Amino acid sequence: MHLTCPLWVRRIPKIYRNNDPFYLRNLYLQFSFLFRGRSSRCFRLAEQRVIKAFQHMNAMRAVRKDRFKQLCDERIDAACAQHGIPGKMLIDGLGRMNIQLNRKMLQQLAIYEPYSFKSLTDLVKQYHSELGIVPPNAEPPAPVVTRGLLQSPIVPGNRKFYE
Amino acid sequence: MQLANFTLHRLLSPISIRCTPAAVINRTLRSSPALLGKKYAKYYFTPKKIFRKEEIYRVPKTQLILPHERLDPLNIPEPSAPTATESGLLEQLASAVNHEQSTSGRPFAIVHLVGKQYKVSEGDLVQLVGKSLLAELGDELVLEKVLALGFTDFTLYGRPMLSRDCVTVRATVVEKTLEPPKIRFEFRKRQNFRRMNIHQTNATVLRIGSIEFNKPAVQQAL
Repeated sequence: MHLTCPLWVRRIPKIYRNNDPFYLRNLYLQFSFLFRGRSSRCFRLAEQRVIKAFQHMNAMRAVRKDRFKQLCDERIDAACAQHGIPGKMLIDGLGRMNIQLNRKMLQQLAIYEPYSFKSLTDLVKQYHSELGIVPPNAEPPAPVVTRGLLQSPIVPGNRKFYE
Repeated sequence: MQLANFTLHRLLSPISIRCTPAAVINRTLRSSPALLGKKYAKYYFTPKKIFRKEEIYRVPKTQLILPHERLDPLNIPEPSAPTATESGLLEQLASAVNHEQSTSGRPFAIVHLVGKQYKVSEGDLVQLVGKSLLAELGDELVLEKVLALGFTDFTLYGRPMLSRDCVTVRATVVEKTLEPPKIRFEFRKRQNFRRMNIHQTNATVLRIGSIEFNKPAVQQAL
């Protein structure tokens, strides 16, 4: 007997159309494992909590990136304050000198490589002093030999100094 | 099994979709029709590697190495001719470079790889999230985009990168797998709107071998 598609669909074994409510409820209950009280055992409560948990998860996706950035900024600021520089000045100065280390790397250097970080602050202080900007409450930087290269932009003529 | 595909497609039209088990795995099933009819009832929302075929992503041109740029990791060419030197060399730095011994400390390098930066030393594992490189397991790579190098007595910073002559950072591809499945669940209240998507992204793991430092090239650059 030839059946049309809608009728043929009904003949598909039960595995394709699970009318048994167990399957849908089990879906949510497996996500509600280790929730508090009956929200982990009863579907009517678990459904609400699980949906709310998923909404929190979605909301945190964008927030997580911002929070990590704030953490990096805080750490860089604290490490720069030991050398008398605001954190923003470091990031701005390095960008102007075309040192493309991002915040994640700068905070790693600040934590685990303090002497390398100090050399970066010295570079930034030298750069700004060449322009006439002196950060207040800052120790004078260690002697920095620049050969006039800190201010020079990257142009095809001096590409040999930058690979 | 093509009829079954067609009917499933009709069933799972987006307008009538609810968060049924079939909806949960609709996308995965579409890509692997051979699994229809097999025991998938227990895989409703814990899809394993079985659901996903190995996908070869289109590698953007920035990652490709042209034939004339390709390096043999075993036969790196010698450094180029010395660049113009200027008076007033940093004697301290030059002596530090001379006395640098790779056995004393643990050098680190900051490497730019696939859009992200990693602080790397020997024996590190680096996981590239969401990326599947064309390199196969066991292939040796040379990471050329080195932003900074650090040793016990001195560090080198590139503006923005150090030259290839100074450094070679070698890595081998250790693992190419899928990440654990991630769930995206969209819900709008009072609108009867629920969507669940489960996706697994690729991940490759590199093991950093050695960071080799070319003294004459650095001294010439100084």
